[in-house]
Amino acid sequence: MNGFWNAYSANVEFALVAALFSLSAFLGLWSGVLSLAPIAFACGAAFTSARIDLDHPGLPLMAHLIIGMLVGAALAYVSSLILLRLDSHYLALATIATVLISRVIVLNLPQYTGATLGTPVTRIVSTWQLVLILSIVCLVFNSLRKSRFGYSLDAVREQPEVAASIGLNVLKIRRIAFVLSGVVGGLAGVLQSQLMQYITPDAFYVDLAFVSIAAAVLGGAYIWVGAVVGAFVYAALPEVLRPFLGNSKNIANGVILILIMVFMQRGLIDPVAIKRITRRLRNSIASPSQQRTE
Amino acid sequence: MKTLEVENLCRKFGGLDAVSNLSFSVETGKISGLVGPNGAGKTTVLNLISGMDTPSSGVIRINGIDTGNLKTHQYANLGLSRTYQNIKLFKGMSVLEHVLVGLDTRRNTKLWQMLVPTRVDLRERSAMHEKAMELLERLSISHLAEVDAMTLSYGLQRRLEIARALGSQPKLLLLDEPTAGMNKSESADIKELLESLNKEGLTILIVEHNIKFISDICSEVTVINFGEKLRSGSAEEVFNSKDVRDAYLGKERNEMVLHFEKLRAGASRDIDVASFSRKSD
Repeated sequence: MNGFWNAYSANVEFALVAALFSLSAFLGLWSGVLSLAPIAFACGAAFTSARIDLDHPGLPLMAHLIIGMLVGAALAYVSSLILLRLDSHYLALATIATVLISRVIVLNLPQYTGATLGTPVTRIVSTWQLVLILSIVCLVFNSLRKSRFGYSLDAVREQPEVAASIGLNVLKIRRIAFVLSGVVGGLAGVLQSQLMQYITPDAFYVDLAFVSIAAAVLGGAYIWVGAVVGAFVYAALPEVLRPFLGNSKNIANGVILILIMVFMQRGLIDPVAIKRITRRLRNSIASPSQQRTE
Repeated sequence: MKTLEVENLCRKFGGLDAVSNLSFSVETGKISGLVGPNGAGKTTVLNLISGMDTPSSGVIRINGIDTGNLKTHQYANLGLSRTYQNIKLFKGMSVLEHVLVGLDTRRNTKLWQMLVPTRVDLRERSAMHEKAMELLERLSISHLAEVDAMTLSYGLQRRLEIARALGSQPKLLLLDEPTAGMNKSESADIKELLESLNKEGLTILIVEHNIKFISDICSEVTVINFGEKLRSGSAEEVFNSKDVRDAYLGKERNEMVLHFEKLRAGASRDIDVASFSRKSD
């Protein structure tokens, strides 16, 4: 176990943050919006927190997290005013543009971001704190799922017009989801920057954006658990494949992802399929267990 | 008192006048029908009334309020709710959740209260749950509350759509072909349900193909063809008028006249004009 931890602790820590990233992407998908923008919000949050750390060293982790969430939320709110005027694939493209723009902004503010030189970050987060933060975020997602807001998101994703006609303000619901994805994205950005200990304009770029969306879709875009599982699978896959495939692992990685998405279109974690399976299990277990209690 | 007033409504799709100069109204507390052959523009009218489409010109008033500047989600606040000709359910949601979505729009909880369920929120949630179960009970699908809605049969999905529409507690219910694909006993059940809802004060506008169903249940009927109004009046009066028969029957008029004669004689009221309509098209 200790050997495993020594070899893979960095992977596990990055996977925990990757789960936060893909949860933020999932929030967009939940409201029927394919958005890569959380990465741009993460970028803003990470550079802000890094800058503040340089100016006022020694702030507690909590302060950095709150700064990250606030910056993420603010950026998300402002960009939602423009982005959410669009719909479907136009919106998706505009969010990619947001990520591209964020890099240009970082490059053009050298006095704050260090531009191409980047900014050093002091790591103050520990592994157990990462686990704790992810657990809290998961708890929030879980309570959202069965709340009025969760149902509204489901309805808006599946049939936006019908949802509007039963009285749901689709734009408002999408905006709230967008801002929440900024909050989670900002959180993830700050944590990612601490793990990297050194952030450059390329740290939060389209590759990270695509990975977080892909992880959410791979895991199952219909329930938040999917985003977390998807992120872990995405992080583990290259390591699992490395001994067998060496350098061709990246190709195999891609092929496996395509296969999963083709043959399990609703992702690894599909609430409908799970309900079906648990009901079958319950039925098959029900009769013998009853006999046992009698 | 009129719950719904439509005045000089027009909707153009490019060069096509889907609805032109249509005026009609729905009396408060009545069940009215909107009838017409395939492609007459019935669903377009319903979409315009429910705010899912914008008129090219004309006025729609719900409970006296001009809906011209409203957004789609605000129609529900006016007490309007609808079902769809092509059933539109939310994939992945259970039967109960479908009704809860509609009911929840009548709640006042703020988002932070949903993140951390407060006692007020929980109490309200269980009250909503109870109300939703009552509605499902009424539509006799309460035993299916936990079932994934997409796995229901066609007739039950139609019932669920009505339950969802009732969830937002409407004063005016728009039904787009509520008995399509239903057998006789199923549509009799729907008829009974609609009549009892109507007795409780719900105003209903039904778009239908099934002439028998319409003439059984509606106190007033408006017939449209090619987006224009042909005639308004009581069911018997309307379906016996020459222009309405022409519209429905076209070249096969004679064949149909026979049926209407029979109908008038009371020999059989059990005909479905839809099965005759526009075979030549």
